[in-house]
Amino acid sequence: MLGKVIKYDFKAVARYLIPFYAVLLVSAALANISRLVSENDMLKGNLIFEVSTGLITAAYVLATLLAVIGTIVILIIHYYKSFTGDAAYFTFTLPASNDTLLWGKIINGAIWTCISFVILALSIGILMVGKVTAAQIKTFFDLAKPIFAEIYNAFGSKTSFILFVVCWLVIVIFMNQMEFYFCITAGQIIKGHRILGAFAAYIVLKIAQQFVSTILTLTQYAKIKEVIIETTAVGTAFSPLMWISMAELAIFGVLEYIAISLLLKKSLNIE
Amino acid sequence: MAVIETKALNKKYGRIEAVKDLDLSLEKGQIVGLLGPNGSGKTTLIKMINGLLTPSSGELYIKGFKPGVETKLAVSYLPERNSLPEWMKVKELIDMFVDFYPDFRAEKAYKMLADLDIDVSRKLKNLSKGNREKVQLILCMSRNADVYALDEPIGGVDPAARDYILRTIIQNYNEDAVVLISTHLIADVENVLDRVLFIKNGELVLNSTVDEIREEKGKSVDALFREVFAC
Amino acid sequence: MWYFTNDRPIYVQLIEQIGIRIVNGSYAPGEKLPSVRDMASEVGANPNTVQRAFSELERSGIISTQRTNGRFITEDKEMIAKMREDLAKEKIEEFIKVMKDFGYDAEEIAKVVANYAAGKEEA
Repeated sequence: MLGKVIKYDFKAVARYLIPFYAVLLVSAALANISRLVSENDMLKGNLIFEVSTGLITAAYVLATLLAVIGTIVILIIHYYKSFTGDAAYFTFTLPASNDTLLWGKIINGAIWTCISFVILALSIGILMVGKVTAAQIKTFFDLAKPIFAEIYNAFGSKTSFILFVVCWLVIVIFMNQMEFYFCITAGQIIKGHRILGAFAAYIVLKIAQQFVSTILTLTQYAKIKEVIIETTAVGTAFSPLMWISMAELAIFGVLEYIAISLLLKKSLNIE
Repeated sequence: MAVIETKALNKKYGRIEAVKDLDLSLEKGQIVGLLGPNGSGKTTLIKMINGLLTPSSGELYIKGFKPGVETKLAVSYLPERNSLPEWMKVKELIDMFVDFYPDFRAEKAYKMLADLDIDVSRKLKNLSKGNREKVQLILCMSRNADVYALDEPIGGVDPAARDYILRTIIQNYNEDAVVLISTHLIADVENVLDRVLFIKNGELVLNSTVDEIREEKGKSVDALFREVFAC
Repeated sequence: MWYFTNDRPIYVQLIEQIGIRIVNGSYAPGEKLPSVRDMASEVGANPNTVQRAFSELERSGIISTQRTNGRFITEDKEMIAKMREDLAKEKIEEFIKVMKDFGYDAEEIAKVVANYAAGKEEA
């Protein structure tokens, strides 16, 4: 059942995101081509050409924004339409538990977030094709080495850092959407002002997150003090803080899931 | 065993009692009319039956189960609103129903759609309003369910479409199922009903067969309704 | 066309109207009746109602069920003729009562009916 739910969530969202991503990839290709063409001396200085190159570059930037922001926006809209409003009459009479329906949204969101990362990377790749040589890439990595060494140190080891990044990616991919889903469902409680309710829930959530974040950061006060006053390497405070902030993300995500689950069980409050 | 059974069923919104102390036992093989003015509690009752609302108190059983995933498999719901994804083509909708509901009969749906000359490769949003409603009805009636809950199925359609809808309901009659029709257009559906339930202010004020009303009171259900619900 | 009023049970009216169709030959003796479902769909009534009407008609012998084949009108022409007579009698009684209410006596009624029927023949 979960697979089926994900399948249809996927299809619903695909019809917007696939065009967005296509636009991004095409504009990346166009930007690359226009750059290649601009290297042709004949066209340098040609006003029309300069302007169109500028426009194409701007288009690429906008397309990137569209793809990245568009992904989360479309996911939010899909959740909103599917769980509140007229479509909810169909969603919640499907032979699936509320939890299954909720996981469907979350997993679908995670899949599309991953896809968006891949597409983004692809678009950058397309943009760079022909511009960046193997030698340049090597130079870039050579320069980056010392910075990475510092970071590995801060986390204790290279493995530790990679573990952190992987955990963080997984959590972000799943939890990114959770706070919006929570706000939407929480907002439904305030009949007549559901969207206002969602905004109110968002504010309350952010305040709570800030509060928790501050308290947790203060637990590392000793280390931070060391860094600032005794100028110990930033790394010693850096790593624990990063792990803490990741833990916060995870915990809030779980709490948001539980809250949504309870709210849905208590009353769907549709229409 | 009664297909739908309620005991002292209650639904409250804050202080408003939408459904009050409802006792009901519906056996299979009936087409039942849920009659009452707007806001009387009919829709609330239907939503509790299809699992969209949870009762405040009391008991509700569909084929012996409390509302949940099993009952959603047994109940085929036709809401008053357009709840299906409008961007899907009709045949995609059929595939989706086949996916989710094991009791869905695709051949039946295709036949009914063909009889109406509805092009299954068109998107739902591109069909006329009348055809859209017919598609929703066909999808609902193509399931082999134990309960068909139809909320105002003939509300916004022309008389010819109304006839078609009522004929479809008759033709899909299943002696193992209960068809629940919630409506305020009584005169149009009387002939199709076995039994009627009058709901007034959330309470069940009458539970009788149509024949009993006509034989014992010598009047139509419509006429009796006007008396019971006189403003 | 089937027409039902709302103040009497449909099964009663259905029995009457099927009877009329049998009596005037629309349903020929021995002819097969539509299934309950088809009949219900045709007349726009509840299948249980049609079932009840059929059962009543069966009880009175006007139709008979042949296991898997379906329901058939009786072939008994005498029974059909009697039915026709009974129906006519009912209507005549009603008619005479109404005419008497209008102030006609038996002789006048007979004359008026004969003239009217003859007139209709000419026209």
